[in-house]
Amino acid sequence: MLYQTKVMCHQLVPPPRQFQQKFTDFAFSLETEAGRRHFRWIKDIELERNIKRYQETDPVFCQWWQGQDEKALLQYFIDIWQDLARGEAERQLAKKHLAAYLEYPRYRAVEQRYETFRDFAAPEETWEKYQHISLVMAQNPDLITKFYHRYRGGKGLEMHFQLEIESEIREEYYRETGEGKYSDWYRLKNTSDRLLKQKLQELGRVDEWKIACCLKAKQALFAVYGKTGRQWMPPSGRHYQDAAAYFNRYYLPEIGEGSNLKQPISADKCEKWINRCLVALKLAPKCVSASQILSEEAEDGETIPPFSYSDPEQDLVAQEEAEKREKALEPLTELLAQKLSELEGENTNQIVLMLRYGLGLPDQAIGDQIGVHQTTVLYRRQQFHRELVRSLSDWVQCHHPDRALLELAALEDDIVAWLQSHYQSRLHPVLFAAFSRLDADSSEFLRQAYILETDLTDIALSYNVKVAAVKGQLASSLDQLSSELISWVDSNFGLSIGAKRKKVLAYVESWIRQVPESDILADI
Amino acid sequence: MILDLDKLIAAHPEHLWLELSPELRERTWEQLGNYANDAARWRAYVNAVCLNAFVDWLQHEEDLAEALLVSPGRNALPNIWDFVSGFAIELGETRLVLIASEIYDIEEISVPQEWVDIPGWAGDYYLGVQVQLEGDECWMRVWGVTTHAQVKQGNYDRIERTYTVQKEELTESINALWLSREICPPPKPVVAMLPTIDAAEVPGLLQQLGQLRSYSPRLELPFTKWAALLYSEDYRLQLYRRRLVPPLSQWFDMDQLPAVQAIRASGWQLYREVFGAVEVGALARRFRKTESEPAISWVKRIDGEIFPSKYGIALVMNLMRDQDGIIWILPQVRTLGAIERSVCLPEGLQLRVVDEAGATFDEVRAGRASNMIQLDDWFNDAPDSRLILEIVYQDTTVKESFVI
Repeated sequence: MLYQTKVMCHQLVPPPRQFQQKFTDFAFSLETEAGRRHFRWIKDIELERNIKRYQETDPVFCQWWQGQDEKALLQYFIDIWQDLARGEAERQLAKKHLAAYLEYPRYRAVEQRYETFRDFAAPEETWEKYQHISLVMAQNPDLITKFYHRYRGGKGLEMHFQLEIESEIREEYYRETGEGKYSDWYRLKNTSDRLLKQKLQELGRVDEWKIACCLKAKQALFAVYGKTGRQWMPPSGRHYQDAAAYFNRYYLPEIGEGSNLKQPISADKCEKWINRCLVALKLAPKCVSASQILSEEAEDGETIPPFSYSDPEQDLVAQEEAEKREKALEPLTELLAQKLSELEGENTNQIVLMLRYGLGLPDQAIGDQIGVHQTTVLYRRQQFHRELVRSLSDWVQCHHPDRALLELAALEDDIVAWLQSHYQSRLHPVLFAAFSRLDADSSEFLRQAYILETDLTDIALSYNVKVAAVKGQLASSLDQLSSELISWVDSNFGLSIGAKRKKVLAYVESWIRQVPESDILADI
Repeated sequence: MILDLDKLIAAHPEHLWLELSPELRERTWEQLGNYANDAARWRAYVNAVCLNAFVDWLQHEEDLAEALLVSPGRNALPNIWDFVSGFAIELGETRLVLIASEIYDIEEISVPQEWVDIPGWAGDYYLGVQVQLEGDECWMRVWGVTTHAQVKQGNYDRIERTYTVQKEELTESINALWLSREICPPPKPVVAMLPTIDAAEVPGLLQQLGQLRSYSPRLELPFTKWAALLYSEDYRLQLYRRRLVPPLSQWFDMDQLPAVQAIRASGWQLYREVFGAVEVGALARRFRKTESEPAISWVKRIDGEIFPSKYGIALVMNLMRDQDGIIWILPQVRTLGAIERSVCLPEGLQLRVVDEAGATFDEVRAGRASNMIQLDDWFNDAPDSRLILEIVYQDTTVKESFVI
């Protein structure tokens, strides 16, 4: 059975392609009279014509094509797909080129995973399912872009995509079978003692020493047990024996003091305690992963504010501290500004700085604008911070003699605050000008709603209009301010940030809330 | 997708986030080396992935790239990770110690004492790393930085032998580290010298610790003695090799000196060295081996104090490679000594073959007058798969693990 299955699998993978076929050809399977399958590469005429067109009209493309620079060509089509200003037909063709490129890697990925995870009872179903998953991925340019940005060289671009698709298929398999990160054992291993203790208490375990026994039994297990080959297989009797031996050798002397535990534990006892941990963990599966919680809560790349209780006294102290630090930084602003102008001179740095510290766009949105992954933006920003602190090194040596890391981190925070103030001060005149162009009612509604924080119902009553009308007017005013700001940024930085209107709108709202009333009144 | 890296980065942009690509993970797994058990192998994998990703990133940061050294050298890492987690990188004169953890809800950094109190291992800075190695998006992040002095002031867990520093006391920005080392580096850590270990004591210690194959022996000795052993590259390597047995495919070729040394270091001897030429002839006739099928037999003496046999017992590994290259295995347990034929194995003593999933594959039990037990037939398994032989008598079990 194994041998036969393997033969079938090999017949279902197309042969490697020539470079010229990679962006234009798709695999088609044919069945011979003898019932055997084989593959042919079929050229998509439309894609071939498109390639010829780019070769004739774009010398850079032509150069990449002749140099068989697959990475640059892939980036070329990704750029076209992401450029909303291009015609829909051209974008769809770019999407198809990307899908064609993934055709071979995706078949190879299916083959590799099939070899590992095939279902012997119904191999065809497994094959079809993996094919489906890979096909859906190949037709998703955003996912392809994500995979592409992860490429760091090495084994080649096609192999990179193959491994990425394999990883996705494997994930799907794990999701169904409860392996990988879905494995109970993996989850138990990576759950902190603090959380597990809490769960055991919720389960009704109240004796501290019993909880300690469960936690230590878990630790003993993971001192002797790990992933076997590629799977988190359930621990065997041998693992429980070893875990019990570990427990008795290292933990029993400590736990035994002041508890009812006097005798060495058996493997069965150890297994029982570990099962207790598993049951506790399963009580609230959503709480086991901080990462999962974060990813569920964070929307559209927004920063999650840390949860905290507001203490007026502490707030006041913090405000005073911030003011003191800001004052300390004042004599240094010249040095900072000088360094900043050097940084702005290079490539797309100014765009990154303005979009992040001026408009407050997340790194992902900035990366989309300049065609790099968000981590590249993050690393570049972190480098800016370093450069700026370095420009103050003499001052730092004088003012931070205790050499505390926390002090340097605070200084970095201060510099970020200074950067925000610096770039936002360039946007404020644009917004004041836009504000002055609003009609009187719109300005007043904004002032009432955002500066005076008047309830919308009260505004509606005082103007004798419906609440919906006030809402509509506010939305329209904010939209107008955002449009003018977007237009200013686009024309000054050669960008097209219209797709980030929601973020810009949030910035405009926060600007109105923070702007001194006297400044607004002067405009009104 | 349950876990979205983009959102995680947006939530904590002050941390250093590194994606762990499938290539990086595959390459790391392939180059992992040998370890005494699965727990050590996974520990090594977690550390090796973090090391490779962090070094790759450092080399791409123009303003940070300088003389970079993995300390004490990449070749030495398997013989560290077999015992303890963590690794060190030297950047110029700065020594960074990275402590990787897979815990979801990070609350603290737990630094094994070895990385704090062994001279030459201690770091100027300690970096807390969280790593996610399962799932469609794998990543690591440096979430906190601290100094040697702060670690020493942390909570010391005397059972686990770790220093713990709470999250709130760590600096979240890795930039603070780069700036600190450039502008105002902390004083170099002062670590007390370890007592010299008595050379005469070492063989006994290696023997004792080498037998603990299913877990790290790091808690077995008082810390200073353990640290002194670990600090010596030579002793550490000997201990590592002793716990490690080369794949059985390397047990045939006596010209492969490193493999043979490792086999011998873990207590194995050739059959003829233990039982003499006459017994070898008898063994050859017993297995009817042919010229075209290379075969070899290795013997390991099992500590006489463990099992109640007057002359001690031995585990014999009979190995044969057939024409397709498949390795066939036939283990035996027999008595030792000049008059071994007349001495019996303890009644009830068992020899078990356990596969890598922990399931008993086959077993045989000594009767009232058995001087040798062996399985009914030769067996094999796929290359690189693992198996364990267990010799069990009453409450005592001796285990020997092998890779085919």
